[in-house]
Amino acid sequence: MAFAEKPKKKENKEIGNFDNRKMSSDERIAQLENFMEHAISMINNQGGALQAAMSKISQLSFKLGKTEEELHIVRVSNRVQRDKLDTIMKSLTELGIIDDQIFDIVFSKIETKFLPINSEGAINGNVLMRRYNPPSDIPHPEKMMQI
Amino acid sequence: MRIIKFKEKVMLESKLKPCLPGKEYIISDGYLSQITEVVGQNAIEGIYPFFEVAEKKYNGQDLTDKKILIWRTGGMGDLCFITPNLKYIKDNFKNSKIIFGCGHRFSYGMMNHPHIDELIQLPIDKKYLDEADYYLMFEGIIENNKEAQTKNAYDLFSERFGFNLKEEDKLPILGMSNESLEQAKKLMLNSDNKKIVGLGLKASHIIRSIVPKTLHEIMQLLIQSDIRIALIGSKDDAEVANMLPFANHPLVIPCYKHSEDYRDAIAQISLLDGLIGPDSSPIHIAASFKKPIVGLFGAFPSELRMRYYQNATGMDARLPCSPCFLHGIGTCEYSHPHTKEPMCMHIQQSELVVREIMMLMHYTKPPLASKNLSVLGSP
Repeated sequence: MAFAEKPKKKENKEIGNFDNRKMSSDERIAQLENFMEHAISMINNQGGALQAAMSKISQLSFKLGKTEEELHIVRVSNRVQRDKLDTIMKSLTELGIIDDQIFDIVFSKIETKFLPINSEGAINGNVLMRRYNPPSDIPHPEKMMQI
Repeated sequence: MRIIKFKEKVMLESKLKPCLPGKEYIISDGYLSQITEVVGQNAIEGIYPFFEVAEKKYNGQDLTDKKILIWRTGGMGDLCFITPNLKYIKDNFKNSKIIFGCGHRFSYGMMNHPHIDELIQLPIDKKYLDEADYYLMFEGIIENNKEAQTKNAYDLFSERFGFNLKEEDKLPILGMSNESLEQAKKLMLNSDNKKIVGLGLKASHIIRSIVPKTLHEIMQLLIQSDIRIALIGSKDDAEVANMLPFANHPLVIPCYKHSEDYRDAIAQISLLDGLIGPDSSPIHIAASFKKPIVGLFGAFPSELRMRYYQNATGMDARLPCSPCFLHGIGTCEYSHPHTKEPMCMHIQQSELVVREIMMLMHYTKPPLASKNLSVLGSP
């Protein structure tokens, strides 16, 4: 399967170019919605840019996912965006690129990086790892990579 | 809920007691369609609405010297969510009597339960309701309840009871069959003293099941670490095990082949050092023994199931569509075009899962990770 050209760097810079720590909850959600619109536009216009778009979605989630509160916002926003994901999938169907490889290419190769969210959890790629009542002396997930 | 009466003696399942003509039975709407298929319309005398009896409906009343009928039509996980409340009743209300009803398949998991006085099976003979001082059922508590998308399952069930349980008490309590335990010991324990990690083969629906590719990767990593693997499930899960290249490896114990019912599964899980599983009953059973657990979640957030578990980690898939709260009725819109496995279970990271269970096992202090657990329930 051949994907089309990669997204232009200029667009990458525009996406997610904000400091979420200074934003209110509504602003963060609005920012995420804007981003999703942009991602859909990229896919509609460029066809093969899904991987880049999803990677950017993931990166944006990282930025929003540093605290419990922010994670909640990400989750709520994600639910709101179901119809938009549907649009993405429809676009892919129209482009004829929905097949087995979509999983391998898009959903399992997104950037892997530990980011601590609180004392009990961390985000690794597209997985949120949450510890519940863990042993008291267990190292934080952030440090697990070195163990 | 409905009341059903039969014209003749009917056998709904081969291992169940027959339903007798003239008697009234309480059934869920879902079970009604199954019954109609099994026995046919001609065997049914009538189906009537089930009217709640307000003065008998339980919501925290004093149960001292009282009898309560509790029933649930859900699976083993749902029954686990109920169990800490049974202990609360026994601890707080002297001479209280608990009659507990559930589906035939899951009743094995509730046998030997230390807090159940009488275990009955669905459909519920209405005489139990007539004889009880109070009753409590949980129709729609998770499946048709918006609150279930934000509130932990243990909180949902204890609120229905009208109880305010302590956080540390929100853990499942199960009974143990000594016979099953002895069989499990023979199957699983040997002198090599290697750690045993259980791997849940399958959830009740594909939407919550770990995909075979991930199961394979997890097994590969555990074997490389010289850890024994117990494949946890039932005989019906052989089709999944057959897809796993390492299923016959010397370090793999095929527990599912020796699991006749939930009594065996409980006994096998009690002997594990840790468990990796999907959003399904093995993680709840393991929680009753405070075993280290890594649960892989997609459709539901792990927090809604595992929040109160000890030494537990939830791996929540984070996709734009998750959590979708789909119960498995129908298929995920974003599932694999051929296998129907959902995207969220495809992105789970085997290496992270294995590293986490090893960390939990290493840091969980004995005797919690010991094989010498005390046996719950009656002999």
